[in-house]
Amino acid sequence: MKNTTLYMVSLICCWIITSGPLKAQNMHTVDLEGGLPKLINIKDVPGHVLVKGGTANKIEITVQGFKPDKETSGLQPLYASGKNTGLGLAVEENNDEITISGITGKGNQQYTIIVPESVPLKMIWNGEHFFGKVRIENHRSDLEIKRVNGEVTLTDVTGPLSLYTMDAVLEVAFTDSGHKGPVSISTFHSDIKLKLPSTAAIDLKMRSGKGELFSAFEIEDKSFEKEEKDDCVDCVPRVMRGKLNGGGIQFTLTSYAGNIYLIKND
Amino acid sequence: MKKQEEIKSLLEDFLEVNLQEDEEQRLKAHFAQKGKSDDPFFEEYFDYLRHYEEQKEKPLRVDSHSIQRFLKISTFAWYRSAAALLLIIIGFAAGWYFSTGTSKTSNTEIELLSDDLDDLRKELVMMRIDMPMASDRIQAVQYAESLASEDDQMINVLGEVLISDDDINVRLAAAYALFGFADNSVARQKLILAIDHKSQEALVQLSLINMMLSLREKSAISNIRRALLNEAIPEEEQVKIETKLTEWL
Repeated sequence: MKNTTLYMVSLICCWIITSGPLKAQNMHTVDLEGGLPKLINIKDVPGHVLVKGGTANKIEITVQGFKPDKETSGLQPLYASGKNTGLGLAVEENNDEITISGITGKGNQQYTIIVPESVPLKMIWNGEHFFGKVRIENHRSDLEIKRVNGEVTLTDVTGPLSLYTMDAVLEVAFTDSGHKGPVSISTFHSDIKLKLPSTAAIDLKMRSGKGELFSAFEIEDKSFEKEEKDDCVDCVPRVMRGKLNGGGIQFTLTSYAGNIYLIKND
Repeated sequence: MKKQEEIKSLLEDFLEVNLQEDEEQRLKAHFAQKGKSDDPFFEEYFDYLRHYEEQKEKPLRVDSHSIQRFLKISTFAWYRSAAALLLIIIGFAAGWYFSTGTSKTSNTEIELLSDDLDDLRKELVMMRIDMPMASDRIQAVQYAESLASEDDQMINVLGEVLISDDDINVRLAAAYALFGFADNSVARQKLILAIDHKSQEALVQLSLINMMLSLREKSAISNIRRALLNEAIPEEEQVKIETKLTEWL
């Protein structure tokens, strides 16, 4: 019995000793107590990325499944500007802007980045080789996202929003209050799934090339504009305008080849 | 009554250039739904407007100088934009009020107001078009799109945005805004030149090409054919478009 207790205590001590430094190795924090930046840029971050809006005055980056490259330890990246965090990302603070950049485009790791929810966020992936899942949750300010492939899911966002993807699967869910506009979502090949609270008051403009439009909402003042001014019967895209709950913030949804779905998010 | 108090409070914030965005939305909604001459708030609002116009000695004249003075030369572009937006709302409400027949305001004054609104929209376009976030620039394009009359400066701004903005949604918005002015030869030329611009994205190119097909704009054929070299445009679309071009020739 005594030996068992001793063994358990030893195990716990080992866990405490090893887990502390391990946690520190997987985390990078940017202290913003001196003032929030005007903009946070997130560029070319590989793998899967979860961005959460938080209330603390700091940016907290954690990573799972990342194997640090011993060769680059202590070296500064030349393509991605900023300081090497050791997590496969570089962070640069410059003129009221903070930029978090992927050092390489490789990897299947999972990043979680917690940012102040009130700071505008710009996320861009240059290139077709990023296939991971991108999730953004609980953000309360301007969002701008450009990504070619993978998945993009936005949950509990307020807008304003400008989102473009070539092929990435898209799903955007707005909060039940405090919407801000304009909201523009466009994609070449993908469907757009837009979830809105049933009370959302918006002006809608939906452009669909070869896809179809579906709505769980009753759309007021619905009108279809055919952009052909002559006998060009299959000229696309078709445009539908309408209002939800009397109208309000402008939402523009464009998919050339995919469907557009308006779904109730109650 | 509570609602009126709230609107009055919003108006006071508005006058002090202290209005938050959600409050702006509520005020806008109130104007849209309750903008009637028998609304007590509306009378207060017109008291303010009359007082303001007496100072200006110009009936219902709201120009860029008045915006600056009204905004107390705020250093924050957002507040300037928000307050200028509210001035536009005021203009709309005033236009509605004077069009109800309860006033003896002449058509000339209404036309003056319409011109002033366009001036305000142009101010807003120039304020927002260079802002760092795409949503601000989309808003600027929407102001340009809502102009009552064509304006060369605004068409040139939209043309520049269409080929140089970093954000595809801003470019798409500019394309559709210019398409709205497609009867103007300069606007149409801007659309044509943007089709095969070296930095153009396939989604914008296809939208522009379809605009040209719908306009049957034969002078765009060479631009369209150069754009079709973009491998990002699906082959079936290329074939379909080429077939249409061949039918034209």
